[in-house]
Amino acid sequence: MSHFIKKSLILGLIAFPVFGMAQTDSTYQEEEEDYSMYDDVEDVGTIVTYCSPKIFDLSPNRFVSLGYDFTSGGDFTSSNEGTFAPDSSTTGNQTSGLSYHGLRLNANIPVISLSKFVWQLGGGINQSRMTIDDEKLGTNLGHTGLSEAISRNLTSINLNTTLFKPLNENSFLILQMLAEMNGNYDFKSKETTPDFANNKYSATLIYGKRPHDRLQWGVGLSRTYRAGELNYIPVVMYNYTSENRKWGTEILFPAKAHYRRKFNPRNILLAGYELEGSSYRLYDTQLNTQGLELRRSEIRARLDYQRQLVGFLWVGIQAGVIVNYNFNVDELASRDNKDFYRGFFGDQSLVFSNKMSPMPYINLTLNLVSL
Amino acid sequence: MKQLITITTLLFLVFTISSFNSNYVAEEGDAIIGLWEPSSGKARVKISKIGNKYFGKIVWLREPIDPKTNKPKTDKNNPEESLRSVPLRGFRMLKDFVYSGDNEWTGGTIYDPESGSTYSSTINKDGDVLNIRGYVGIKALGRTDTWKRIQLKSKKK
Repeated sequence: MSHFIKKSLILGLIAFPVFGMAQTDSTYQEEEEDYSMYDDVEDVGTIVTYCSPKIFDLSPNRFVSLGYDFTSGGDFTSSNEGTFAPDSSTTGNQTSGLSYHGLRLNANIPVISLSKFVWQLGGGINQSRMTIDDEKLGTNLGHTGLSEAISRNLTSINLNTTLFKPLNENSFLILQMLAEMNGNYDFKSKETTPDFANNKYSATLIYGKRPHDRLQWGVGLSRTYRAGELNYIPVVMYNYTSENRKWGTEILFPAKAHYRRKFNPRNILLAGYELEGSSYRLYDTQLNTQGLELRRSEIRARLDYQRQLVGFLWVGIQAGVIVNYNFNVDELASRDNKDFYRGFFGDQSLVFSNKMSPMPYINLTLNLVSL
Repeated sequence: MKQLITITTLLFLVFTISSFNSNYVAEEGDAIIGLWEPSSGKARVKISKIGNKYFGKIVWLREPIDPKTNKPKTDKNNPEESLRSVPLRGFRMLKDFVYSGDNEWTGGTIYDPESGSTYSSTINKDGDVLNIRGYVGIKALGRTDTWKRIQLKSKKK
């Protein structure tokens, strides 16, 4: 009997690994085969072929980006309050020194990401912690009031979504929508708590073509605050990668345009500019006018170096010069707090006409990316 | 003796049932074996089984020759320099998938030769179509591509 038990146990020990744990060697090498046999095939399944949302070697798509932005000081010159028509001279200027720095945290998550449709949802917070140089601060009450309002920091919290709909193998539509809550708010009191009614909404629609894996171009229309004020402008997209795949362009004109140089797939340099900006509500100011909107826009001419740290974690270092495009202030209280379109030919008066001198800046980011 | 017979019978039953079940699961899992073409149509991939895992290797490229070198394309975007001379045709781009039931294969990786990146991946089979999702860390951070089943012209299904 003991012999029988022994036999059963031995059988069991042999049988168990066979039933339960077949081993796999992923380095297993298969024997050579004649690949020419795969030239001639026929479909069993059916799918529709759509164009990809990307082309070769575009800079990585950022799922999550955590960064910090630093500027050196520049001069901030402002006119008197409430006395200026557009393009009038800024007599009686008051000047102070201004620098800013702040956190930039942004996420962009694909909700649906299929060959036939891509839907991404994102959000972010971008801060500009303003420092006004007291020694240079002017004595004009309007300028002092404006400086004080700005020095409570500018914050932008945004929600955005991008829809990519390929129409066929080589054409597509892109719709981007953005909702922003911008201002010098801090939630510390009723007066400094943001009002949803002041949110800013932007959208861009692009129709594009993707003739091959190295070119993607498109044209469209945008409702945007990138120039500070509400604007409706045409946009042109042109993403290109050269035949040797060493350089290319990433352009969404006029918002941004970059030349891309690829050292290797995990090490790239972009050179170009981005127009960054929006309209910020100034809450709780000591100024006579109410419903003030700071139209802030700057051209960031820069070098942007991006490289892999480990896996899908990348680091980005931007360095360049910020050239002010718009730092003027509009007043909306007399317009029922409704925003308006000035465009290039409107004659609505400004309440402050400001200028900022160019200033160097650095931006450091840590990014979770998809290539 | 009676006790021993009962134990042996039970062991036999357990082994028989688990064997039947694993054979059944293996058969269902094998439904992925065969030739597939990604939505881009730029490659054909042959999925086969090694041990209890599923692997897919590139067997055909629409443009097999690198115009720069006039030689067969290699895995030139691989982050490991020593692997950049490995031919793309024959390259195993799907690795280590295990059938987890309900027409789903999980735990594998997919390699994108165009970027040299390897993503975690799951495969979902819907008739003669595969939905292959590559992702970074969590499934939400990814993209799904649709592959269709193809077969050699001489070999009717």
